Amino acid sequence: MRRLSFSPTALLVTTLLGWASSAAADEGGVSLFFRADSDQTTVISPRVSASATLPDDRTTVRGSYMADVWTGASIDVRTAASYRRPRDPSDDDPPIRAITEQRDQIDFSATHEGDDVTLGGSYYFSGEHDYWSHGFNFRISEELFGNSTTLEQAITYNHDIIGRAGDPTFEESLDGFGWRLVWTQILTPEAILQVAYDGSYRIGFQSSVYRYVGLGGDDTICGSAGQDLDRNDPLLCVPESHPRERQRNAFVLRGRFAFGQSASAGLGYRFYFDTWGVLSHTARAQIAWIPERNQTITLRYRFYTQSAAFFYRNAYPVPAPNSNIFGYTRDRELSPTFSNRLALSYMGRWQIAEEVSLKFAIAIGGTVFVYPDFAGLDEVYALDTTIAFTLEL
Amino acid sequence: MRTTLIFALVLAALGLSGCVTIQPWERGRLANPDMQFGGAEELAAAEAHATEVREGSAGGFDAAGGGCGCN
Repeated sequence: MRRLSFSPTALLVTTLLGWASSAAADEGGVSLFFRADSDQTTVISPRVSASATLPDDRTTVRGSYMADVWTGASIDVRTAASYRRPRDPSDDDPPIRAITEQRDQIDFSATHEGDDVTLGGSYYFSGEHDYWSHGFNFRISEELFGNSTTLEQAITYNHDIIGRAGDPTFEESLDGFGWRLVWTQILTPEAILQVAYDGSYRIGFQSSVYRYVGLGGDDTICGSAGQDLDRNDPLLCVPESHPRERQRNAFVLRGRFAFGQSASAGLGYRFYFDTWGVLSHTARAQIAWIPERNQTITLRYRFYTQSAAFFYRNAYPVPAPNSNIFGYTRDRELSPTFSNRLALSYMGRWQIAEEVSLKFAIAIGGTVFVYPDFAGLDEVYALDTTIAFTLEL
Repeated sequence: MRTTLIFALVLAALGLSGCVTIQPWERGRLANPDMQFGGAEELAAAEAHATEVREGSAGGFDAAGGGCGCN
């Protein structure tokens, strides 16, 4: 599969098609996501979407376009930048120029509802200047036991192509295969429970083409990156190299419990493990309040903790000749970490004309990520907000 | 092993609870947005955007569905 570029013209056509289709659709929406953190990274993501029900009244098609505009001078950028530029001891705090990149994504999906069986399929394309991804999903869900139970099965496939800025000869690929089984059970008129298994197998290039790992030093940072100048620099810097295969498994148990017509609570737990040795626990809780019809205020809390990948080290020795090396990484996502997140959201829906409704949603969240064993980064404080408008016809 | 056992027990409990049928006219509360596992699509995507791309794990929570459980 060859690389595809996402030209501004294609973007414009896609956006206009989205708007044109939304004019004749059941639903059209726009949203904006903004995120900023203490690791000098900001993300702005506008999104437009539309959906329509076909004349058979059982088939729904959806389409969306989203952009991710990312600006940052994160620890990855700072360390990579300092590796490319040898350290100057007279310059205590060399300026690092922030990088701005854009990722564009389009999604198409269709769902057909039978009497007891629903079929669905989707496709996405995501493109940026050095990474392209195509993904397919097919799912089937069945209503059982008088429609009190829903059993859903899904399979996914994605093919990614990885390039490297400034190096047109570099090309790697990554293939992913996923499968999912979801059991949703209505327990009572006020309680619903869900159990899910999500598995995937990925094979191919799974490293960052821009990260380098220092060997033989006090830590893995290549160059100073604003670190203590008295530290022992690495003797050698090598490109990050992760194993080419990874199998991931996630089990989820979650429920929703209503307390009358105006309040509810939700609890969720995820247990995750993979063949790279990452093991994680995620707990989520939410309380919702419905002050009046079609208005919902929700407070969400999320706690996450994970262990490190088996090949992660905060410092690597220089390997002996012929030693068996599984991989080198400077990926904070593979270090031991935990995070806490709190988010508050409001959703409202108003009838603005005959058979026309406007939905409005806003959410504000804060997350603290802690990296107890990652050189150059201890904590990241992040704030994000989302605003969304949807027109229902 | 212990986790597998817990999930097997939960599945068994769910299987037994499948024998209980909640009538369609009893499901009005379950159809409200606050009872949906996926929630508002844009808000769910935002949380994933804010957290999951910065973690070593993936999957599981983006399984949608739920709600009234009826076509």
